[in-house]
Amino acid sequence: MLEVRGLNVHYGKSHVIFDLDLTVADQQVLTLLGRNGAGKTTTLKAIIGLIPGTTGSVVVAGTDVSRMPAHKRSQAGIAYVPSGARCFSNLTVAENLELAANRPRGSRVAWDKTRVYEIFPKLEALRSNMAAGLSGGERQMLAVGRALMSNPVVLLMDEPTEGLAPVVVQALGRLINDLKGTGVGILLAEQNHQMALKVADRAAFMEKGRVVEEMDAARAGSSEVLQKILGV
Amino acid sequence: MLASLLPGTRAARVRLALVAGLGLLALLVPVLAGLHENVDPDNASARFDMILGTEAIVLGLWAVSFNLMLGYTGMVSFAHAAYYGVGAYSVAILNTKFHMPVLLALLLAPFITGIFGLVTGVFALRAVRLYFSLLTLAISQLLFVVALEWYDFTGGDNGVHNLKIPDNLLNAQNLYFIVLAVAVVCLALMYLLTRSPFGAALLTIRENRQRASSVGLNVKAYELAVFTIASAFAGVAGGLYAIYDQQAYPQLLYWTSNAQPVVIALLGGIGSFLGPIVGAVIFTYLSTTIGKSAPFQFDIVLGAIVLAVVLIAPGGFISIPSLFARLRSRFRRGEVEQAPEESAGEAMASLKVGSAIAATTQVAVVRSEVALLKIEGLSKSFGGLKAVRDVNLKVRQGDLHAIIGPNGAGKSTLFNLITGLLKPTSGSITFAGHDITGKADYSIAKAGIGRAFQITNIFPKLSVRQNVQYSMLAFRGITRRPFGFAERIFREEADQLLESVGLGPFVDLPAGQLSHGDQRALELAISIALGSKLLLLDEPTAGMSPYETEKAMELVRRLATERGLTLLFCEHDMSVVFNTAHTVTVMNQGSVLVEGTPAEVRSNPDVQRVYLGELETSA
Repeated sequence: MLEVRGLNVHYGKSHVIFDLDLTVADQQVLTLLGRNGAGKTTTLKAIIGLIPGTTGSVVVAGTDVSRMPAHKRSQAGIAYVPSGARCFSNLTVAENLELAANRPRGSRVAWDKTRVYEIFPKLEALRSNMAAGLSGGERQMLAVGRALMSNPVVLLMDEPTEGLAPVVVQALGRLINDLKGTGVGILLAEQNHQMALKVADRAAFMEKGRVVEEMDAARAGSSEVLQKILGV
Repeated sequence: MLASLLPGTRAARVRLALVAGLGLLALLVPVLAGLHENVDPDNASARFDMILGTEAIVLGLWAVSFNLMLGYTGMVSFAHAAYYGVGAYSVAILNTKFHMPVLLALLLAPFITGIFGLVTGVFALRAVRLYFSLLTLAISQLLFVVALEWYDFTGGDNGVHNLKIPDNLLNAQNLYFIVLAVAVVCLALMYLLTRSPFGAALLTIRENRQRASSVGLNVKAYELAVFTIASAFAGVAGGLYAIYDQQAYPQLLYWTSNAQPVVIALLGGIGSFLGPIVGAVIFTYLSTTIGKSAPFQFDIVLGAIVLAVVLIAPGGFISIPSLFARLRSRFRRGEVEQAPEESAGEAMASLKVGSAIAATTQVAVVRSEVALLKIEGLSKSFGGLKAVRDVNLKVRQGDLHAIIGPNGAGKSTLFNLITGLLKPTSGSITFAGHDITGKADYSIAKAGIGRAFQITNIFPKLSVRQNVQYSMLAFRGITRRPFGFAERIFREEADQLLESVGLGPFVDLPAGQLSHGDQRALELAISIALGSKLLLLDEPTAGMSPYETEKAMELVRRLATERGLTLLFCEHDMSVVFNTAHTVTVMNQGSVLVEGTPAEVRSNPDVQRVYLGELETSA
């Protein structure tokens, strides 16, 4: 479980994230919705520890990681799937997975290459290909697979559907559902609110660096907030 | 009265003060040198001080010419000392072997060095970036060895001595003023060059080579031109050296000598024209004070100073005033800071479609019965992988033509083939009746095929206005002009267009500081500013909110109907495809699966299987 309390981010002079509180329970998907520039990506990066000038507390599975650098936070159980699914392009698919491997955590199901290949059979077929040659959908699978290899408690996903074909978006939705079953919590930042609300349990709406509203995903689809914030 | 003559911005006032200060210092050197000798007659000599001044000027000139490449174009050359050496040898040999007066020889030096630069540059520019740098290193070694070994002509390791210098030039003060005059003329020429449309082209190359060629710049030709020009000015600096030191020797060309312009440029600041001159003054001062008292430790001290400058003030000594200003404003509490207006990614939402259309020129109609773009039997293989196989495609003028298909279907490869980023393995591409198969990307861009990229592709350190302005300059071929002021051309046009895409408040902001969404608006503005006949859009609405998407696509539709622009776009948002496109081509595994109207494509079972899936039919 991931708990974020009083997160504030400053970029130089400008204050971009304001007193943000978020909780992602195990086996739960919380989606972060908001327009371009609302601060979704910044929030994810601040949680994984990639942004200097961040204050506030981040607790994952009972460990306070607020003062840790990004790689320690990753070992503590936060995995990050960056937008555009950036992979190490000069490494093979298998190498991309191996370098993220981490100790299994407690009673959870342990992830290894075999299990990643089980959920993404396509990656097994491509295992000795360079990541540079993968298509958008394949890269996205690899990025998710790589994140799982660290046996995360919580998975942060930044706009995973961007640039993906409708069939792949549908498959990704099913995958997120399956992942929940394995015990991880997921924080999903998305522009594609239709897909996001279908898989999420809770939805948080962001505007200008603040969470302005949080509610059950089932209710969010028809809410006024969705119209007001996203301009749907 | 006087106040009204001063420039308006703080930065401009600082610059003016700096020019005035440097100019005054340059004029006062002889007076100061005389004063120094009077105050300390045992150790100081006015003649020595004036020669130091001469040296500083020559170093400054040399470093500024180096910075035309490093700071303005982003090229790291290790051969600049070689051209300085060639300039020195030119003057020395013309004078001693051909009995030419030194000042006449000095006049010829830039031409001789320029030819050396041009010929060697052709080879160096076969490669880019690191490999270019390595080739320049090889060239500099080659020239060094020629100077060292060709005894009969260059005097071998002895070099050339005993230049015949006229008596009036033997006077240190006369020499100083002549060197100063030559340097001022050269610096003025280089300054004007950097402000010209040609200079604008160099900046776009420094910022983003790929984008520069996609707006129609022949990047290699510009790099060769600036390499040649920089060599010619290095030749003048070298020639001046031969005159005041009365010799030329092989060590001048050795690659380690290249450290001097590098260190001087870094010390002073590579981000500004005057930086290297300030660097030269500081370098000369350090080398006479520390270099004299501790000659063996000099390199260590110099290294430490360069390290400190790069770490503390990456903009060099010249950036220190603005660094102080920033520190002062940070520590001054109680005073409300005037934060610059921030770009919040909302430009697209305030897009004024009508005025954007008004700011766009009408595309001339190509004969209507021919397809604007015709692709026949096009294939592209990467090793064993056939990314595009036997694709046939016709795009009518004024059409809104979408290409959809699964990831990896070959859409991006097809776009790269059309715009010349990739060369096809077989097949042909005809645009407006002309065969463009295998042409260079910049000439395809010039022919009228524009592209907006999926991953935002702008010139980050140039202002938002310059992004549009310089792209227009490049596209219309105006960047060939080495005179005039780039800032004054297309300024209104750029402002009008930027205003209409909602970027009006940010025209002076460096484009890299725009939020992601606003960068996409800028990308779109650059694309329509060029006035291409065919525009390729790679996922134009990725990352936009539904409202912004609607605005952007309305603009695209009206560009097609009212301005005759033809659009070919890839998109994964099916509501955009089905609401905007007139023709849809579906690609799968490198080939065309089906082509038709949106309705036909949508109901095709193959398309549903490979791409659409069980898409809700809610539209």
